[in-house]
Amino acid sequence: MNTELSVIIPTCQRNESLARLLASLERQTLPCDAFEVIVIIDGNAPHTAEFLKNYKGALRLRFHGVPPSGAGCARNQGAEMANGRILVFLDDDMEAQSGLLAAHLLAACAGESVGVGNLVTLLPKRAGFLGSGLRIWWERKFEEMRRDGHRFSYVDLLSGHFSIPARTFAKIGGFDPALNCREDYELGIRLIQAQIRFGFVQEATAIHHETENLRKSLDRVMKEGFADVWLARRYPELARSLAAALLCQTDLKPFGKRRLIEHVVRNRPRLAEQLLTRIEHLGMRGLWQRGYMFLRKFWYMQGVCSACPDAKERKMIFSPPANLRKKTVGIIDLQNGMAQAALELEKIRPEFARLFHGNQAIGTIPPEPFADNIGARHLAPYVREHCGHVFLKAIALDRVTQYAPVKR
Amino acid sequence: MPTKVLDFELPQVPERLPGLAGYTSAFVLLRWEGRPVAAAVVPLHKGTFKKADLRERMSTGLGDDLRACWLSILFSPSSCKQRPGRADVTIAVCTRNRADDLRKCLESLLSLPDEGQEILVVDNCPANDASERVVRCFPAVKYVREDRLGLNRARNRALREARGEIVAFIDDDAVADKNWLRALTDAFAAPLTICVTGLTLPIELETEAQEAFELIGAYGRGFRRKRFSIETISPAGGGAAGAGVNMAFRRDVIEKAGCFDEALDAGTATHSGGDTEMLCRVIGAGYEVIYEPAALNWHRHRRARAELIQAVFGYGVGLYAAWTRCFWVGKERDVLGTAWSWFFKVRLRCAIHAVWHRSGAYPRDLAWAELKGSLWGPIAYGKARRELARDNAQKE
Repeated sequence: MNTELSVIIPTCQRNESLARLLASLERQTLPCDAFEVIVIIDGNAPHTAEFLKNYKGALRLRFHGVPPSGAGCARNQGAEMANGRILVFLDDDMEAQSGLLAAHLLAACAGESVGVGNLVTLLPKRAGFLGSGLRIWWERKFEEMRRDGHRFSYVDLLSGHFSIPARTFAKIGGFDPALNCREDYELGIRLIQAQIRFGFVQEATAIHHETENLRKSLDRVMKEGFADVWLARRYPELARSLAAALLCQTDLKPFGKRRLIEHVVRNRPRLAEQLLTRIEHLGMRGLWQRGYMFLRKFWYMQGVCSACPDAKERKMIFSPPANLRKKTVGIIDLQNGMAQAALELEKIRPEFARLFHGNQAIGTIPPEPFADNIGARHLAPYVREHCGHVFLKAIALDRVTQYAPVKR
Repeated sequence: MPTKVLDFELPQVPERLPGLAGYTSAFVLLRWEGRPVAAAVVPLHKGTFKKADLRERMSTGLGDDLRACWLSILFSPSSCKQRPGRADVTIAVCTRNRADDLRKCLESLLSLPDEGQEILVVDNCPANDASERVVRCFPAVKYVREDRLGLNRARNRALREARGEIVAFIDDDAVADKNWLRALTDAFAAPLTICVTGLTLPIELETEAQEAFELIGAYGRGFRRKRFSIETISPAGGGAAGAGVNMAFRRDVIEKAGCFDEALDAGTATHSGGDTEMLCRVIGAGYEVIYEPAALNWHRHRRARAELIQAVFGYGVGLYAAWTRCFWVGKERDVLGTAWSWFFKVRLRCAIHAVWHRSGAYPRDLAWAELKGSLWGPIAYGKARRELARDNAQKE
């Protein structure tokens, strides 16, 4: 039997999670000989290698160790070793539901080039304020993708669970090894640039065993700050939409209150985190939220500053000229009905669209950096949510002017 | 003078509707494709309803709601029109000594489209077997007797006895609209949503007490869908999401947020607040509550003034008892600020305005009853906890 799918799992000293994931892959509706599993051990992890050597399950499993170089490199290595037509990337903290691989295969056969998988976040029992906030963040992300007319963009590619044809992955060059964080966003940018379509595969569901804690969360934020500078340098078009763009514009007073708090956080980082944990134990949610947001911003900016220490340069990087590239525009008239307008839009597939009803302006579907071009399925949901009232008024005005007696 | 409750489907509103002698005004519910979109109180002229009065009322305040609804119907995505897979649902009616109301409630539930839902009546510490006899008339309805007094005990029993994944609660003095259950269950699309509440309107406004209850808007949550989670509100604001008369939970709410607190609500010293506290807890646990106005049910408000004052006092006690529980047991310290400002900025101000008869003010007796209840709430919760502990000790 030909190998249709290759499941690629980068892992790093998390044997328990890996065992759970492998067990869940054994329970797939797809027969085990229809797919192969490639585990890439990122860094020195003799216990993981030992565990995989002793694996006696039904899966066709191969593993390979690489020097510590980040999950992106490990995934690239896995893709090189893969024989499958479709690559399915799964992180080791996932647990696949039984229909996951079959759903990815079906989506690939149906023509979805990149299939973003669904995740259900499972928190440990004492998840606290951070955990519940994270769960909401994840849920909102997938809810948005499920929404009719969602415009996929580079931020929708989540490396923890997605599928892509092996040929496309090789053609695009895989993950950029220079990035240790945001490598999925960067791959998403190149895929969008290459006009490869994304789709959300609702039936491909994995349980995401979230183990984030405050320290990990702040570490990640710092890495994100670092990576954002890299992204802004490489893709200036993106710079204005990154969080750093706003934060780099605010100049702090030399002796302000925030400066003082920042001084304490910088010199006693553990103290600030302990204080936040104490606030959580006391149940002061509002204060915790403010403190957490402050720490996030602080560590994010630390990451940004470590990648680009010069304040002037930072400002330049994150505020490039507004119109770097001329964007394609579609002028769409809704007067002949939504269906007709949607057809016109699908023909042009512009980066942004101006909507009219006869002579009356209804609104603009704005350009988004590295997002899917606007097609037929985006039109009705956008009008409903953003310019519905103007549209209804335009219809009413049109009727009135059409039937009102003309005075001479 | 009494108010007639009228229910119209747009755009088929009659120009004139005579024969409403004895009523001075009408409470008009407007629907669009069966979905409630707006409600207005319009005056009647010599027992006749006139469309022109309604139009005038709509042009002043209801236009936005109607437009929003029209839009959502005009552009409703095809995926919304298709129903998701049939959920396994149990309808739970917690009742106590209200056999006549229960009969009407069950009749309405049995006239709902049959999608395999289970109907469960939890009879809470009944004084006689009247409710049981009513339930015996409906073979499709399951009867469970909970001998320990307390509405929240009955709710917990319902969650344990239910076989559906979703448990929809309706009060025994309410009747369900034809689309009630479908709208409630359809709103459970996202995994984050573990509670959905619906719109409750008066089934009759025949007495002054019923009109007063509607005026103070105890169940009024509007005609637009709303979502409540910690992103948008503090857990203390859970009461804004809905009320126990019309709410549904995923049955696994017990694992995710815990059981209903048995020291709260009717049958205890706290009189009410069990529903509010549960909503606060669901939001605090990081889940979402959706208010879905399409899930409409009709409530018979209390007819006698004395009953109403007692109920409003109970709401005051219940709200502050629920907040006490959130603060003390749930360790949500932010509740303190909400409770403080609600007392001084809303309750006390309302009571003072009522004394001076300012326009738009609460009726004086109701304002004072609620104020007194708010002061009594924390003490009542302590008392109810002690009683609960005593009961549990006796049981052991």
